[in-house]
Amino acid sequence: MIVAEALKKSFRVTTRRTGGFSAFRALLPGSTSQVEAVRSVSFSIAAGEMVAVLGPNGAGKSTTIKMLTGILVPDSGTATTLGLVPWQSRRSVAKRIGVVFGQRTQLWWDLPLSDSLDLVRHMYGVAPQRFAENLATCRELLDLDPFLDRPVRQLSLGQRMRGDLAAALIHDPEILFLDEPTIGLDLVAKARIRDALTHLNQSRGVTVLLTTHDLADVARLCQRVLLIDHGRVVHDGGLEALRTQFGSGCTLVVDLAEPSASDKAHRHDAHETSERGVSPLVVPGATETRSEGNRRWLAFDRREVSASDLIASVASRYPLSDLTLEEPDIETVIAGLYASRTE
Amino acid sequence: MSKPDVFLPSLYIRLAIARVRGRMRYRVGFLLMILGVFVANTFEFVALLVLFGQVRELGGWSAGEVALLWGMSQMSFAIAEAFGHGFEGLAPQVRSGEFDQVLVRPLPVFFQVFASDFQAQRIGRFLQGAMAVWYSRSSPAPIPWHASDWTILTFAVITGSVIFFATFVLGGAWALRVVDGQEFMNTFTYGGTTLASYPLDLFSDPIRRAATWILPLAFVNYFPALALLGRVAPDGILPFGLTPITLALSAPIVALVYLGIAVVVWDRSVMRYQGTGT
Amino acid sequence: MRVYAELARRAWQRQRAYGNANLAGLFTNSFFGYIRVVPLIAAFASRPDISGYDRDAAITWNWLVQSLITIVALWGWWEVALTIRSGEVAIDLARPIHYLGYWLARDVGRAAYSTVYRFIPILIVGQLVSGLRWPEAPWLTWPAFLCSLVLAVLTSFAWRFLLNLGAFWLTDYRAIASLGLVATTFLSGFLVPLAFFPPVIRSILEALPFAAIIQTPATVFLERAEGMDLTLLLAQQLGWAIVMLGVAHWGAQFAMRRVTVQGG
Repeated sequence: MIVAEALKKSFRVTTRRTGGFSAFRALLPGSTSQVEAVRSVSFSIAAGEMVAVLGPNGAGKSTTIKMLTGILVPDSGTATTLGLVPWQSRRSVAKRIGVVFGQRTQLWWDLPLSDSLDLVRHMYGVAPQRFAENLATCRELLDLDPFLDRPVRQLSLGQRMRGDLAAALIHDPEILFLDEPTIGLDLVAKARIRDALTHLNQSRGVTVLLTTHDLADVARLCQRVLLIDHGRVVHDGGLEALRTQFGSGCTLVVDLAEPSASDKAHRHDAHETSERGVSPLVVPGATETRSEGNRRWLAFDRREVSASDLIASVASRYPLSDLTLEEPDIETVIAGLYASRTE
Repeated sequence: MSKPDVFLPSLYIRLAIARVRGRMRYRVGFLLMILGVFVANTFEFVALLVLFGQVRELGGWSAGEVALLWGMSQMSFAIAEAFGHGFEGLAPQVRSGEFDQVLVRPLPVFFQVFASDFQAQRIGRFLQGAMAVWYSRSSPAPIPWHASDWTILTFAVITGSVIFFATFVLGGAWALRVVDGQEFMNTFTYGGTTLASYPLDLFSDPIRRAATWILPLAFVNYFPALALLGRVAPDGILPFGLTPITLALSAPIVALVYLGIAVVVWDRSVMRYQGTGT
Repeated sequence: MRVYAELARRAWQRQRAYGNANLAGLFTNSFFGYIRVVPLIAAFASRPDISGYDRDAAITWNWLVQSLITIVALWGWWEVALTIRSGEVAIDLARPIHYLGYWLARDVGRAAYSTVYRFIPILIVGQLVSGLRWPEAPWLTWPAFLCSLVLAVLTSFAWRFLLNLGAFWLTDYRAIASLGLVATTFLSGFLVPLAFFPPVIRSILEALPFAAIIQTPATVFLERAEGMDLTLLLAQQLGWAIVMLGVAHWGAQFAMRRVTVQGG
């Protein structure tokens, strides 16, 4: 359905000048710089898949989607969507795909939603009968009836998004490209969009490629995740696999049976204990990151030392009353990945 | 896969009607917009008449004769604005990324931008232009209209609107290439119609040349008006020494060539936009 | 006072952010200045003097009003109306500063920026394109002109502020207020010097506050009023500035009562 091979795209960015005569200076050459939005992106998506593209802002997600939908031409690399090169056969591809940009609308602001959908039908040349069928499906699937006759400017964000999704479905697209379809929506609206997408995928076999910042979207919808960072695919697989690949940093929380002898010596100075911390536990392969009374947090990398080895070595050195192993949740993993970008 | 092909002219009408209906939801605002443009142009025209209250002529042109130029320029521009506003208002859409929507639809990009914003409210300017033409034919003494005059006038107004429209297309192409570029284009569109509202032979030689060969404003109304008024042009202003009638008749060809160039530039700009993005 | 100076400074800085738009505006103003000066020069081919303007005075008037229009912002200024429409006005009213003063300070900052980056460059363009007549008595005329300019900004601000208040009552305020501004360009002597109008209309227009926005500073710059006349002219302009600001203040109070009653 979709194949991308070594897609590369860089932009020329004009560095904004400020100051009194900035406008005059902006006309001079040399005020632009090259930014590599997509360095090398390769993947392929089979028919009927639902794939999420994750990545921090500016990682190259949107640029990748724009190349696959024919909006942008890459600097190098190839891609096919439905067997066609999208930027060469833009209109043929456009007829067979649906695209929704979450932050913008393709609906007519001043007109009722139903009029917008009718205009879209004419733009795609959809036959009246098929339009009637598809509209009926959308009305049910997205529950459009309550606001079908209301001008788009009066719709809530969630309603507008449902309307936009309907507009993208009028011509029976084989692939849906969704750029942040749930952005800014409340929980109920998000759930509705997700249900609709699941239904489309399962009952109609529509292939879905979506970008999102909402991991709940991914968990509910997608079997497969493409993580793009710095313009490259850094992970292609399940959401769980993402954790095993990037979430190797775990924490062992231990409760000591009694304060150690060295601590007892300093016990009289309770303030100092809480502020500076008692002498940290020394265990090979782990570092203490936090202490609170008898409870200590030991961070370790699972690739260097296994949890069972660590527990054994802690237990051999210190008397323990209890212990728990904390694995990072997926949000933490991704947040950590995003944070590392700023370096 | 047997999708019925889209018939663009009827789609255009459908989209134009949708635009007008959308605006008509705010009926008072819509009528006020028409009135606003009408009044603004009327004030400018009256200011011109105030000047003519003090002098009999401007460079050999009487008030009525300048009014004819004025009216033709305004009518042409009003039509061009009504049809070309999609191109005129493109810059903010490029900036916000809305333009990308156009590229994921199975229709020619030019057509979509063309059909995106039909503006019926421009009738205000058109009416003011028509009144100026009416004034030119009735003041100081009524001039009888011949069938040929009507023909020349109608052709000239349509031709002029094509020339202004093409300028809007070039402006849109510019907006695709240069963020913040639209403001400069206003000089050529709005400035162009103001320039064409006065006799071209008043202006300095470089401007006259530019208005003949680069942005062919002279073909909007100056040459046709010379023909209509039976005026003799000053030396060196008529290309190749052709008569005003010949030039007026060749204006449609000039307009189409200019439009052709604008469309080619537009297509190349769209391709460049796809190549460079925002 | 400190806070108002700071507001003005911020407004100046905000204008700087629109650098490119300002440059484009400068280009457009210059082009229109040229287009309008040409027929005016042609008018003087048949008559050396129109209502006391000779050719050079008319040329200078032309470039002067092109530059003035940017300072007095007659092309549209809807900042107040936008805050009223968006409801932000409630925040502005909650601030411990004078509401009219708040906006006036911002407008002064904007006008100061326009003076440096629009007014002066356009005059330079005018000088290069068609040559201007500079004041013959610079030590008197320049200070007088500067006073007149400040009063013009105050009068124009008050008038624009009043038009903006229309947003409290009307959904279509913008179309109506635009009509008001368009009329102002005509009535203020921007499109044609007020002296060119027939005598009766001329004296009416010169008595209206709109003349204080464009025609008066131009008259002062062209040294068409001297001695007692100049004093009277500036006094009249001062009078209009005070009256208009007073009306604007009253209008704001009136509108505010409405906001507090309706709860914003």
